[in-house]
Amino acid sequence: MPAVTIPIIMAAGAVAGCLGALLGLGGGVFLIPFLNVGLGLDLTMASGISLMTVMATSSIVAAGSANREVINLRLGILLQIPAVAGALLGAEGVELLSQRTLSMIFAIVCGVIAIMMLRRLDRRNVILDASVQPGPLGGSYYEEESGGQVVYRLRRLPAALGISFSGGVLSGLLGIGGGILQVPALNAWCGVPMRVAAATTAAMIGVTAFGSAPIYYSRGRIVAPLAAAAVLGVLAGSRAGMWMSPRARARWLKLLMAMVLLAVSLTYFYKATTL
Amino acid sequence: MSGRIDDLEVRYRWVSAAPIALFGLAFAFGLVVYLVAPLNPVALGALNAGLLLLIASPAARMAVALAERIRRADWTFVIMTVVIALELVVVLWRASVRS
Repeated sequence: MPAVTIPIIMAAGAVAGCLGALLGLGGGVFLIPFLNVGLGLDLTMASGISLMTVMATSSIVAAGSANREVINLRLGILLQIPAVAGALLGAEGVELLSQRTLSMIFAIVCGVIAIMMLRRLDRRNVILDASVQPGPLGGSYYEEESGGQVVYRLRRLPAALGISFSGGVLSGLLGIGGGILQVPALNAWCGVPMRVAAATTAAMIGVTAFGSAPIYYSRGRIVAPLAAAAVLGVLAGSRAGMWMSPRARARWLKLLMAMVLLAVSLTYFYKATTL
Repeated sequence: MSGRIDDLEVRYRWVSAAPIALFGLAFAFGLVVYLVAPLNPVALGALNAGLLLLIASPAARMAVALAERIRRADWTFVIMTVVIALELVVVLWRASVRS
């Protein structure tokens, strides 16, 4: 790998980290296509590097003060139980699947989630009466769009657990954080506001990534210099994303996420059909 | 609400911030040496140390969250965290089997 690749990957990591922190993802969904399609790296190698950036993004979100009010740690820990199990399953299963199958899975997941996001663009899931009880897994926070304290309740807990398991499987298979599935699905189906889903997921995806990262590392699927360059980029980019997150409107966050996912989906459909 | 991250803020931030500084420094040092001399074992040593620190950081956060919740006798949270810790032990076991 030529030395010039290092700064290029660092810059890509910065962009992925910014978008990842802004949207509650690890940034892998942006970085993997760049490494795989752009630089020609093997998909599982790109996934291994992506897992490292997911862990870095999650560490930064957990250490930072931005979005602290909206992180629901109790909900996050509960959802980690199926997510880590799924990640382990995914990491064990990745060697059984071909690059073409993995590409097709990536394309389908991105496409379905993008459509789901676009269909539910204006769903906010908040209760404006602050006296309403949020329940054991809900919460309340100050929302600038409403100009006051808002409450939310978790609905369909079994669906939330199933979504987290599926997010974990995808994390183990593709090296993404799992947030790509969890954030929109928790928002659309389980009554969790976009900002809460994004912040909680971002803080917890490091643990999901731990469900597969040691297995990737032991298989030699993490190229140390490239992973280091991507992580250093992510460290810078995710700070910018966290600064932008409270200032961005939920509707625009969803729209941006849907557009990016559609572009990634089309890229991988094309890749899978030409492999 | 007791489940909020605010309750753990001081310890949680310390444990999260320290590994970021450590793996960041290891990666920066390792990359500089790697760019000068790609085959230098010091470069690969520093880069791999950074990777291991990074991989360990979520587990360290979980450990502190667990300790704090035991201190507060929040047993529901403790049980959930212990289940995750057991899952992570299985992950490490599977990784060690392959290496």
